[in-house]
This record gives sequence, C-alpha cells and structure tokens, in this order.
Amino acid sequence: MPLLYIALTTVLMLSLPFAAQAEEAEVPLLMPGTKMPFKLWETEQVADGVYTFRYSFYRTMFIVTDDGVIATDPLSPEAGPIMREEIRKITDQPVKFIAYTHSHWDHVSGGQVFKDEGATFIAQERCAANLVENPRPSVVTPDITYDDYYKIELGDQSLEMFYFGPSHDNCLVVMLVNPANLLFLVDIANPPNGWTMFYNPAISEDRPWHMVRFFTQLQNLVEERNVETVIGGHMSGSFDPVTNRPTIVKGTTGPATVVTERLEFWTAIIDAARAELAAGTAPEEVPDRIVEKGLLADKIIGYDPKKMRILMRRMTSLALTGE
Amino acid sequence: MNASSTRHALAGLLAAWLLAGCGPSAPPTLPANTEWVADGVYLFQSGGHRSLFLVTDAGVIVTDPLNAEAAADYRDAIAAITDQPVKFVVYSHYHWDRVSGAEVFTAQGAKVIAQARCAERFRDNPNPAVVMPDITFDDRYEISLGGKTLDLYYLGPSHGDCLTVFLARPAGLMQIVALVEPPRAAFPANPNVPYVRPHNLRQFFTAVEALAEREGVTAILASRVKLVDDGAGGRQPSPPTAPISLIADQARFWNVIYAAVETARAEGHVGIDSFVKLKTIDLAPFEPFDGYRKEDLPIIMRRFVGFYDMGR
Repeated sequence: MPLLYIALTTVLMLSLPFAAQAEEAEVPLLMPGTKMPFKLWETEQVADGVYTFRYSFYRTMFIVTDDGVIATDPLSPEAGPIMREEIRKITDQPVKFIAYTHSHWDHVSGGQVFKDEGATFIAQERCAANLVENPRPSVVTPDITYDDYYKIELGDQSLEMFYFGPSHDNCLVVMLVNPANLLFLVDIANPPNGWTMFYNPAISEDRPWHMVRFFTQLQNLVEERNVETVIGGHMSGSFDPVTNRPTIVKGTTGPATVVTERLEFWTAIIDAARAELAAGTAPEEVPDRIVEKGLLADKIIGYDPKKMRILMRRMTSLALTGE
Repeated sequence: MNASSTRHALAGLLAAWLLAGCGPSAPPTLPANTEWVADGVYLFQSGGHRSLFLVTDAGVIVTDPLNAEAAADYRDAIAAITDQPVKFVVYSHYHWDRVSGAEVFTAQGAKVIAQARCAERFRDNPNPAVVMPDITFDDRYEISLGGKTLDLYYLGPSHGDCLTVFLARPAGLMQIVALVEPPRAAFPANPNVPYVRPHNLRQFFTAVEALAEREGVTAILASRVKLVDDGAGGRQPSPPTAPISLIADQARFWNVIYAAVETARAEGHVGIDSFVKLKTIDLAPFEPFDGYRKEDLPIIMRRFVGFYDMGR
C-alpha cells in the first residue's frame, strides 16, 4: 500500500515547474498531462553498487556485486520485467536473490522474470504463510523463509533482514544494506518526514497495537548500527521548500530521523485517544473532541480533519479492544 | 414494519417456539441479567454484550467473561441457577472488551481455553485484565460435560485472526460473536473494520453455512443487545436468537460490499487515495441492512479496496 499522500498532488501539481525529459523520451511520464516532473520509472544509484528502482509511486532496490545481484520487491507484473532490463543496463551478472519486504501483492507481484533466470526467493515465514493462505498467480512463493533475522552475503555486499513483529502487514521486515549502511523501509515510514498524514486512515493493514514497540526496536537498530540514511519504498508527502505547501517529493533517500518521527507520530496519536478516554469522554465522541481541539493539526503534514476522525475512531477501538 | 422485517420477526418467533418446545422449559426464576434459551443453555447480559454459558450436572462452561465487573455479576448469575462449579472459560476471540475479567472464574479452578492465534496475540499484546489461556487449539476443540457439549470451530481469519464459532449441543445453537447478530443482517457495529479480514471472509461464511447444515443447527445466538424496531413504531431490545438463515443474510451483506468495490474498481471509481467515490455507488443494496449508515460506507469499502490491491 502506498504510504504517501498522493491526493496532495491534485491541488499542487499545476504549480510545479515542468522538467523536460528529452534525454529519456522512451520513458513515459508518471502523470501525463500534468506538470509533475516524474517519469513512470527511474533507476538511481544511491551508493557503491546500490541502486533504487522506482515504478510509479513504488520503489524497490537492488545491489550489484561481481558475484551476482540481490534485488528486493519486484513490485508488479508490469514493473518486474522493466526492473530486470534496468539491471541489465548496469551489469551482466544474474539476479541471484529476490527478498520480499512484506506480503502485499502490490509490492511482491511480478517476480517470475527473476524466477525464470534461477533467482532464489526469500521472505519472512509469516509472509510465506500469507501467500499460501491467499495466493496470487503473479506472486512467486518464497524458497527460503526465516523468523526474525536473515542475511544474504554476495561478493562484497550484504543485505540483512530484521523482523520486529507485526507493523504494516504481519510480516514486514526492514532491510539493511552494507557496507553502505542504508536502511530500506517500505510502507511504515518514508523520507523525508515521519509526520505525514495517513494515506489510508482506516489503516487496514497496519497494526497500531504493536507500532510503538516496532518503532522502538527499529530505533534501537538505527542507533546500534549508526544508520544515517533511509531509502523510502515510495514517493513521499512533504512540504515544498519554496511554497511551504504539502506536495509530492521523490523520497528516494533521507535522514534516519524519519524513524524517530514516526515513533513520535504513533505515540502521539495513541496517547491522544487514551487521554481523551481517561478524561471521561464517551468513546464515540473521542474523534470529534480531538479534531475540535485541533490536536496535532499543525504537526501532521497533509492534516485532514476527516482522515483524523477516522484515525481516531481506530485509536479509540485500539484502547478498548486491543485492536 | 416492511415485508422483509415481518418475515424475519415471524421466523424469529418460530425459532423461539421451536427452541422452547424442544426441551425442558425455563427455570422458574432467573436473574434479571440472564436469559434461558434452551435446556442448560443461557445468555448472560452486561453492557450491551451477551455471553453464552452452559449449565450441566457436571459443571458449567462459560464463554467470554467481558470484564472484571461484569464477570463478578456473571458468576453471581450462574450461582443463582446452579451449585455446579465453573469448569471452563472459553474466549471467542482476542478483543479485550469480550475476554477480560476471567480471574473470578479461574480463582475457582476453571481452565481457560482459546484458539492458538488468540493466545499468540495475548502474548504479543498483553493486557493484565486478560487471563492467559491454559488450553489452546488449532481448528477444533470439544468440551463435553454432563451430557452437553460446546464445540469450538476455527474457520480461519474473519473478525480478527482467531474468532471461534461456538456450537452448543444437543441444543443445536450457534454463536458467532460480533459477526452474526440477531435479529437481522447488519452493518458492522464499528465501521473501522481493520479487523475484518476480507481475504477469508467469503471462505469463512461458506464454511459456517456448511457446518450449520451438517450439524443441524437450529438457531443463532446473539452476542450483543441492541435496540431494534418493535414493529409498532417503537424500539425494543434485540432478541437472543434468530433463525439460522441469518448466516446467509449476513454473508449477503459482505458480498454486496465485495461486489460494489469490484464494480467501482472496474469502472474506475476508486479515488487517488483508494477511497471509493461514493456518488458513483448504487446505495439501494445497502439500505435494507440494519444500522445502515451512508457515512460509514467509505470506511468499510476502503478496507476491501485494500484487499483487492494488496491481497490482505
């Protein structure tokens, strides 16, 4: 699920400068007919041997070594083959591993092109169970599963996977690329800012009951490994530095402070609902009370009172039922 | 009262009559917060909830204790009916508002039973008010006591990841907490339905209907008390039972949601933020359902958009 706030673009896209794409005319625009300067897909080098591949609003990454390639989410049947071609432009090495970040079809479909060349697919064990429980033909099922940690070493590079319990999906893992020391986060936080409004305030696949513990563990990882930079799994919502209005940004990489900010975000919204209930407000009135008070309105990027009400209904339910 | 609700009311009366006629009559005196529904089968009421319990000559089987205060009343209500001890407490799922407060029963030696995924959730997200299960099961568990049985069936994720279907035998009564509520098929009480699992909901209802038919289930037991039309322009508490056809009716509600979302996606009526554009939706199929709230439809449908996009 895209974590970014695509809707923001509808108001702002016309005001952004148009960037000519003449040098890569073969790549269609992401939003043709608008002035948003983004191509439909894009490959960027972010460190020695480390590349990101963005297709539409989704981003994945791959690591090139002299012994083969490690790639993460293939994204979709449309994106997977294009990603394969983008890798071929950089290296003749085969793709040896595909590592899934979580089990959602919109990130992990399209791996067949890699399976065909012999890649080994790796996923957290609950992801594998999800894909068996609810299969989709375009999703390649994993060959290797693991519980809380797995490490792929290839050439002079490594990709580590950490499972900290349910967060977004019940099996999402965070990935650490070394020696570049880059943290890859999908759907749970996105550079440059952790205070963005929820794309989906009904937070269907998010597990608020475990979010604070998840981000606390993630924060510990960031500190222990001295991680400074995060790669985002999506384009992202943030403020336009010129107009200071909410807009879409690439969000390819950004500071690891996004982890602390998202921890603060979750803590703040859960605490807000609990405090209102503790003050004696009836559960069904909590969302209106919080919106009337404008709580966090100046803190959340892309704040929307309608979405805040839905979010707070959810947080009230969390306080009362544990989910 | 329209024709449909008249049919439902008559069917409900028929179910109640059949229940009353099939076994011994109700005990002469019952606590005010307790309903007798069949021989040895009762519902305890508190705070808008109903919890099923079975009284036998060899002990009592209790389900969802609700919370500490309610559980104390629950214990007293049982003591007013029988001297038998509570032997088992069974959790229907993991939501705290149903399963807190079992200590009053475990202090008497009762064992707590829950589906394995519920136990896992209690470990992941502990609440001191929830007593951890002593016994867990995977797909099926049978508690037989004094000639009566409470069968527990886990049919996959539905409302949360571990909701357990209760079947009281030989009365042939089924309870599906939070998902299927007398008297009529309804909107979910809470439209924020992240704990409704669209990826397995159709399979769940198919399995429940097959189970009910196979086991000759006669009626559905309520797990809530809500105010419903009394047919004379007023409101009255919802009845404790409904005909077994309620399962199919409730399945139909969810199928209407699936269909509306599928159509909206096919016709390009899903917004850039994945909310279905409500003005493009034919609301008529939703309106007959109890508790229909137009303003809650986008929240419910957004959940199902996620299912079609993400598979979860």
